Amino acid sequence: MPQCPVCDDQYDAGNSLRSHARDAHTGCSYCGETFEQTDALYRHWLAVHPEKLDSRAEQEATDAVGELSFEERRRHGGLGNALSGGVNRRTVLGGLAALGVGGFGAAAATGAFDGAEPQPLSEHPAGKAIDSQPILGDGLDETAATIVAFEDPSCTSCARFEQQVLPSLREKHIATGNVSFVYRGIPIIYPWGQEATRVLEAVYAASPEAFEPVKSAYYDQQRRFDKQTVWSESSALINELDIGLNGKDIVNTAQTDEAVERAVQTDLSASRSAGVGSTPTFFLFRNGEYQSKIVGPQRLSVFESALNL
Amino acid sequence: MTLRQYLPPIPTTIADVKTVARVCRLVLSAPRYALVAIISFPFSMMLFVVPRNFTLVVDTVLSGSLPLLSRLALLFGLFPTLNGAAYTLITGVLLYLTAAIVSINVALLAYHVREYGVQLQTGASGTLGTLLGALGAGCASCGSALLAGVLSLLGISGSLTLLPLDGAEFLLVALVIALLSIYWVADALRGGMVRGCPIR
Repeated sequence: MPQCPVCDDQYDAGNSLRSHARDAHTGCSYCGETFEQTDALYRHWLAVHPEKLDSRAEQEATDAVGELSFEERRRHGGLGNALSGGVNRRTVLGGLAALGVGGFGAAAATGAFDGAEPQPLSEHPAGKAIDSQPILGDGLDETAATIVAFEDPSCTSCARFEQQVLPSLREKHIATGNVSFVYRGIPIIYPWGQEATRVLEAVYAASPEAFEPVKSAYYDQQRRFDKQTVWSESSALINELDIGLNGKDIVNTAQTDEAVERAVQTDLSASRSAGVGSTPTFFLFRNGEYQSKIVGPQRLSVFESALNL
Repeated sequence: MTLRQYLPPIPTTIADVKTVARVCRLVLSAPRYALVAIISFPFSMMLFVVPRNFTLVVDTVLSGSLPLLSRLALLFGLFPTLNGAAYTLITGVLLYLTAAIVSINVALLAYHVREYGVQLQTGASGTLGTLLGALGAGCASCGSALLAGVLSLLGISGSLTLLPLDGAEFLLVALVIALLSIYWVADALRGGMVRGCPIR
């Protein structure tokens, strides 16, 4: 608790103590020095303790004795205080804030941030075995931009991307031949995603055209699935979609085919090499060169800006 | 001597809440501190949304060849919106609410530093609230490897199935910490005056 350096009285707060020392002792609450006149105390405050004064005290002292000249600050507070006079907390805080913002801007402007290393899609970890993945669009060699998406059919964020972002992306950029969209399934979210990812691989192997409707149906009906029912419900789902596939056969392939397991492991391996930590994660390529990555189902404008579409 | 002496205070009465409201009202009614809060708000939001896409921001906003307007559009495009898919409605609302509380907290801290200097306790709690806010924003994206890792370390299988809000629970914790932090700053101002008005 602040204590008066003259009479040892205690106060709850610094400004109460400062008022007490001024009124009772014409003294300085910071160092205990006493004065004949209040104006001398004010000059002492401004010359010796400018950094300790709050705005009210500073105003009070300045109103009484005016701004101190360099000579006055030197006379009352010594050369050191005279040289640093006027540097109060506000100045320091403002300076630090300006330094932070300015430093950040300067670093950005001078290229202190190097940005993405240019790396061809074929050599990028996200591009591993990319030719065997489901692709929306005209093909990797035909479009200016490529998006490689790592998703999990059980992921609710991926479902929001599928329902709220992908339709616009398809309409504006995939259908018009600007973008190719590659799907890579990695089961890392809810447990039933492991079986669903295998089913999707089996569907793609049996009929590439059937892949999109099954994937969309998983996202649309996520609440339908859990670890216990995922096989039977997946079989029923495929039959309901009327895509020319037999649900039971697809599920059987998903359960037993080693090629399906290898395909899932290839995607998981690619995701680990590429540093995917969550789904959905999108790797962006422009003219075959890596640009950056987007995490989460960000809005279309973010994809458009990042790929300069 | 009890353990409670070493723990930060928590508000327990209506009077405590009124004190916090009074301090906030008094400090924010000063234009300079209101300005601090307003300027802090977008930066607080960035603290929450940028870590999730730090690579993207470095590659495209801080470097690369995009025009300035595109860079700004991309940066602010990461913020939650009503029709956006990046965050659920509840997560988006919690993010804005937490950022607002953190911004008020920054204004109160600025006032406290200006008038009384820095106290580690309030500074640390404000930092903790900010960190938890960032964690909540990142975690709210489905499939946070960090969250899954932490939960698996704790031996919890099924991970995210245990979090009905898909990780927004961390934002709720962040919000509580940020609110507590405001209380701690307000509590530190007790016995003094804010803009000539006593705080009891």
